Amino acid sequence: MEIMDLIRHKYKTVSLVGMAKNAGKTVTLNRLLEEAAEKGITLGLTSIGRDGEAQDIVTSTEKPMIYLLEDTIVATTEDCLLRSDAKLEILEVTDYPTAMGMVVICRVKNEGYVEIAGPDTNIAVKEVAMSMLSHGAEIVLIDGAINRKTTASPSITEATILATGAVLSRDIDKVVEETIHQVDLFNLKPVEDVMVLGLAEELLENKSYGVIDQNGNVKTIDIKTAINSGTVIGRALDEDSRYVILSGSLVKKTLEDIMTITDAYKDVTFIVRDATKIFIGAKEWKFFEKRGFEIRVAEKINALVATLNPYAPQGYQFNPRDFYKKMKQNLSLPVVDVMLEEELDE
Amino acid sequence: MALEKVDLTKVKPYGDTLNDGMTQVSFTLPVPYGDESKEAARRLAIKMGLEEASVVEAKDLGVGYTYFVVYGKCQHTIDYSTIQVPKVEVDTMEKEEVEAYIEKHIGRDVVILGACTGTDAHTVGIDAIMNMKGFDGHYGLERYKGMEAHNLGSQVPNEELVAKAIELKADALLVSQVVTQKDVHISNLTELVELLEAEGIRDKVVLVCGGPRLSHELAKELGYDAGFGSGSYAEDVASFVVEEMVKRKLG
Repeated sequence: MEIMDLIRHKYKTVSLVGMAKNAGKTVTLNRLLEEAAEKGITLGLTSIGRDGEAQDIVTSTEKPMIYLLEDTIVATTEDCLLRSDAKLEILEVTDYPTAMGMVVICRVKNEGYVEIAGPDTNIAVKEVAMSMLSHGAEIVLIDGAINRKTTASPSITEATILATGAVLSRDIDKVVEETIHQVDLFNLKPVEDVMVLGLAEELLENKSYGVIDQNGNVKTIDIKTAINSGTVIGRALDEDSRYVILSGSLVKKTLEDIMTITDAYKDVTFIVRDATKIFIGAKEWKFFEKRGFEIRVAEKINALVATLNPYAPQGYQFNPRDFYKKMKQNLSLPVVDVMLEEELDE
Repeated sequence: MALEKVDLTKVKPYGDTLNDGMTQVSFTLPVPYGDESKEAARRLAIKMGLEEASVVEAKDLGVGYTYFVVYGKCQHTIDYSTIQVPKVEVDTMEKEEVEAYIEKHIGRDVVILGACTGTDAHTVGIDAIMNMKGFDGHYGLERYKGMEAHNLGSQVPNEELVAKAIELKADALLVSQVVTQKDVHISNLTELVELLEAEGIRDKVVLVCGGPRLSHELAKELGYDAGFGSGSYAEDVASFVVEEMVKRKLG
């Protein structure tokens, strides 16, 4: 399967996020670079962490290098520029600082290996992606770091690719369970009611919190974050409440606190901006679902594909065929084993 | 007697003479004390790359565990001349200079929160940076004029830190990770970044991590603005924070 076919002509900015370090993000990235080269797509590329260094700084394992072809646009830092062997033309020096110098946008003049470290904050990532598009990139790829997933937010990138692998746990079922949870979060449905969605978007835009009742009246809740405010939110609910709009993050404790205050949450749908705002693990999520919580998003994440890495740097591996089969059966999106795809296709 | 010149491209441990490779390692094996366990320790040391390994100390830890100290000769060398470690680039100012800088360029109190987050209960690092009395003759941030420093202590959940940061409108967060098992500090540190993004305040704070296992290079990958290793003092952190605030126009 060609992953680029899922992207081209549909999405201009795509994030690549991983369930953990060594889940295979860089291998997936290289695969995308290869496909883009075959199809003659001019890519823009950056990373919120680091890419292309020969050795991983956390696990000291070898990392795949990044080889970029002529005309590729890349956003990296001043320090990385000096360590790259490709010849790069500087198009723009941004004013986004990182721990490794300012972010610089370049065009590859002579192909070669490149070290990439891009902007740190989501807002900067978005700006840099837009800038790379304006410099002629057809598709911009944003590589993630470690297990960070917020670049998947639809307010930052239009679509996302999830890398998962054996590194998560020695227990294959646990890897599958955690990946299912993440994919389910990514696939959380937006609220259907257009009027409610409009009201919700207005609240989210103002970074405020509020309750919508059955007649469409909005009552704002005077809090700055839902963290530690579960009891306040709980008290704002009554039998007429139908939706709660939460602008920031949604964590386990907030829902627990709401439960201790009222049962009215059972008739209410909680709306967060998108799935990257949710910080609730697989087991707790199931628990809250059973207790009658309904959680929706204002914007759905376009999760395109899950890529698999059956090898773990800790020195064990899963049978690639079993791993692929289990994931394919359980995930509601296409699955690709980036390490051994050809063999699996037989 | 002329001193033998050290070849920096092939550095190895020094024991009694240059390049003898003498190394001491200690570890515990989950096997009962005895000749077999000593032999096991010796063979393991050889696998580690130590030549002529010998067990010089073995102690019965009870419940079938034994502790060993092994000597041996390391066969490996390191090319010291090619090593480059990125460090925080900061023109460190003295306490008084930082205070003057705040007054001149920021013009209001800088709010700084410090915490040992997650499971970590070792506050020695964050205390050295924050506490009024400071450490090693370097006063902590609590004593700085123009700084409102809050030390939240140990085992602070990321959520608590974020809630507090929103409540107090923090300008900078200092997160310390001293002792953690199996790299839990990594996912703990990334979770904080993700929470700050979700709350929409990541770009409004200077985010700094510190601890013996955190390098400036790792900080970038984690999504932090800087990482301070051992040997950093309050004025290093303070200088970085105020300069970064001005650079990012957070004043």
